[in-house]
Amino acid sequence: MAAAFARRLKRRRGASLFLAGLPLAFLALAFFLPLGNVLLWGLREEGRWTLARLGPLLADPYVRHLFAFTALQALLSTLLSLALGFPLGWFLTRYRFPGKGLLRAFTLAPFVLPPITVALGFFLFFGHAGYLNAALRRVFGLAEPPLRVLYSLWGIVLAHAFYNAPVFARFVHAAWSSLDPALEEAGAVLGVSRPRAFLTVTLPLLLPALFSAAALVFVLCFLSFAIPLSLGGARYATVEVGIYQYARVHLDFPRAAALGLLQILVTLALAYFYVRAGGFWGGRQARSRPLPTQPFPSRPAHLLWILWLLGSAVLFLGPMAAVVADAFSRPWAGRPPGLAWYRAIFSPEQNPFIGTSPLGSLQVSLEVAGLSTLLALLLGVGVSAALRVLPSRALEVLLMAPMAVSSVVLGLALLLAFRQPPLSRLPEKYALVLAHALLFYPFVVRIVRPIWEGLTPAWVEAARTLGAGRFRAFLTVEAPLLSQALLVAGAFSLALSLGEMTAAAMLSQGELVTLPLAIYRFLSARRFGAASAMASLLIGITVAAVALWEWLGERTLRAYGQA
Amino acid sequence: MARLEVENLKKRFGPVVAVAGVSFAVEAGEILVLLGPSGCGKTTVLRCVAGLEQPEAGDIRLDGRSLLGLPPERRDVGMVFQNYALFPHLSVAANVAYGLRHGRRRLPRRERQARVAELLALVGLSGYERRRPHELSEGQKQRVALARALAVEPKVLLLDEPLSALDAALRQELRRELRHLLKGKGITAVYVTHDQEEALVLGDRVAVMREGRLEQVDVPQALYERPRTPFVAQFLGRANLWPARVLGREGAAFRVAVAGTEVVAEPVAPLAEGDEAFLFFRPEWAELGAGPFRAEVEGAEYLGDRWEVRGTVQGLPVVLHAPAPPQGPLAFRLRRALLLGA
Repeated sequence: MAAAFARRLKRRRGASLFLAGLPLAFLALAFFLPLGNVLLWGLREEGRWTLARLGPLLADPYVRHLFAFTALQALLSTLLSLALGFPLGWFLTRYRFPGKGLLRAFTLAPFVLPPITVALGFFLFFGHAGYLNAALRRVFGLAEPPLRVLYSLWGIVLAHAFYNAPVFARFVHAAWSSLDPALEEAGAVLGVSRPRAFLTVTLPLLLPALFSAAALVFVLCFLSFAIPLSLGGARYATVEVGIYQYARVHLDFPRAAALGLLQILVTLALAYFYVRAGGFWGGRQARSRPLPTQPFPSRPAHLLWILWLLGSAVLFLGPMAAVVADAFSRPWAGRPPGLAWYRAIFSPEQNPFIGTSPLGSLQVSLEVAGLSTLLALLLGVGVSAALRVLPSRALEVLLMAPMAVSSVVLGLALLLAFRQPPLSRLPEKYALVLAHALLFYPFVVRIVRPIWEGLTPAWVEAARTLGAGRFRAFLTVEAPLLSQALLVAGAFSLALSLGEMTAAAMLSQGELVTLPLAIYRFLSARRFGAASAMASLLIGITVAAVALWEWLGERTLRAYGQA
Repeated sequence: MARLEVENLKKRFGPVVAVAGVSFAVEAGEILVLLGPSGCGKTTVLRCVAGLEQPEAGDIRLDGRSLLGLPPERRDVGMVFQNYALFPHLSVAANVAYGLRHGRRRLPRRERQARVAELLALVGLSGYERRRPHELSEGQKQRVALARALAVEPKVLLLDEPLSALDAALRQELRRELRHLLKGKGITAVYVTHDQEEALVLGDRVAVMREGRLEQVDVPQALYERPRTPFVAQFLGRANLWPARVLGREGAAFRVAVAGTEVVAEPVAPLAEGDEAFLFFRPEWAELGAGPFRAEVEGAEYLGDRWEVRGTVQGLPVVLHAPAPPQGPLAFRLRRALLLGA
């Protein structure tokens, strides 16, 4: 009896180790091995270990300039994002108004909005011949375009703020609405004025959230690729662009690898800071009731808010609207285009600007997105399951490690891995499929895991006592409860893959030109109409993914919230 | 109907001993209540029987067959969970049908539907088939959970504080219904609760647990009238426990020295002359008016049908029942008293 019992226990332990080992083994082969290879490349010369490459690299004025410029633009971008995002978070927290849900959903959009569409929008809207300059010239009768932000550091910073101000808004909104209103009221009862209560009570309580958001935004801007590449060019290159240029333009792989190694060291330090800052912001206080909101607009002073909202709308909606408008208005062969630009992006004919046919680009994008989403879902569920049966901090760090690596470095690692057997026998597009799966499965884990962990264990236990085996209990109880999370994660992963340009640029070969890359090439050749039509398509997919997220999220909460 | 035996069950969680050797048997058709304060290990015993926890030692037998090593789904044991654990993505009917559809005793669709209808009628929820769990009241959820557990006709039904989430009035109503239903179907059941009143009303027998061990297993009247340990005496109802010293035998009873006087009391533990013991009596066993004891009154609370008086006798705390608020000290004698081992 006891022996059978012990055997069973052992079998169960074996099963969990197997479950935990599977995603780890996959990551070891598909991620750690190629990455290790490329990073060690930066440390080897003619078969010997050496730091010889790193020394001259650090002394190289161009490399120093890359790092300094990257850090500077990231810092400025973070500050501008804070300045634009904090009021938005404040507004979302303090007021209630029709369309609030929609506005909140909008703050999610930049997470998935393809950077190349933002870059294109900035060209069309803020460019010297863009909509904004054209409007200003008409209104004030100017001969020269008055706004010259685009081809400068400020263009990059403004585009990054477009991206990351909503991150601040979301963090501030989440942290602020979880505060107990009694705290500020206590300040008021003690005789402190409202602004003073804000400065002495609310702001200190929001600081951890602000630090977390700042660290996150800084890292995102530090690793930004598509925006500096298309808005900055060679003069305003970031480290990420630098690695890309060494690897894909100069074909100097050892130098690219060494630069990648340096970049990883910097990002690991930043990630460490982010995790530490996140530690501050762990605890949620108990609240007596939700924070009260004021109706908006209800007072004359709200006019200031309305002006501010209009200004923000110009910054945030202008570039996106410009993209959509451009596809419908840029003349096609001298005439109004109608749907001609849209027809053009479904054309099967070879296009000299992008190096493949637009339809081929769409097809390969969909294929890569579909396959990488499937792989990301599998990997995400596998990792979540592994962390469920074997919860351990070390395992989590290992299983989530791809988050800490920039897309360019990951692309470089897979580029080199797919040049050697056995992977070299596979078509190049599988390198991109793998890259996207590795980039996006952490999002799947982030969406699925909290919901999985939040499922009451009694549900599975009830299924077991009713006679369902462990696997059947998973299929009939856990899987349906996770299905909406999986759907959302899948939609997100799909949208992210369709919009991803960094790894796509690193791994593009011949016919392997995805939509964002095609848009970039059209943009570089100043063929805006086709670029706008393609970008509109991507924006549409992104908006659909975000809408699905908000809609399903609400519905799931309502149905399962307290059940 | 089946007989459940638990023998010398032991379970630890890390350094914490949850169950330290528990043995009991539940006869076919009997309701046994496991009663104890929270953290005493009663739920762990239940989960070991269900196969949701693995005991370190001991045995669990159903009709003489050991369940050890069997996964929960192969034990023929049903369970009603504390917060019901109704599947939120399934309707009431699909919840009740779950075991008949995915479990070991699968029924074809038509029979399944008939069985679900029958069970919902049994718990008084006909017409609720298509509701979702979040659309039900707490009491209705409880009934669905019961119907779901009964649907697969388990040999033993385990209930883990199934009424604890309900308000007092509903709890009283449902526990009557529950007992009626379980006895009507002759179901062997183990019921876990920390509510003493619930235990007395529901159980054919009650097992009182404390710190991972069984203190006493007995029919409800015996637990109240003849508790074997000071813990049981205090856990169920009001208790007066005074340290006493055994002076000598007097027939089947003992004469003891207590609170500065001598009384005769009935022993429930083996005692000898000179032993230290506890004199135990319930408030209602004291007769006011005259007698060897004199209580200094410290306060009295009105409980509707009586006054509950708190005071001291020779410095020993005492609780008495009185028909009116006491004016000055109360003299009383004991109609009945027990001697518990120290």
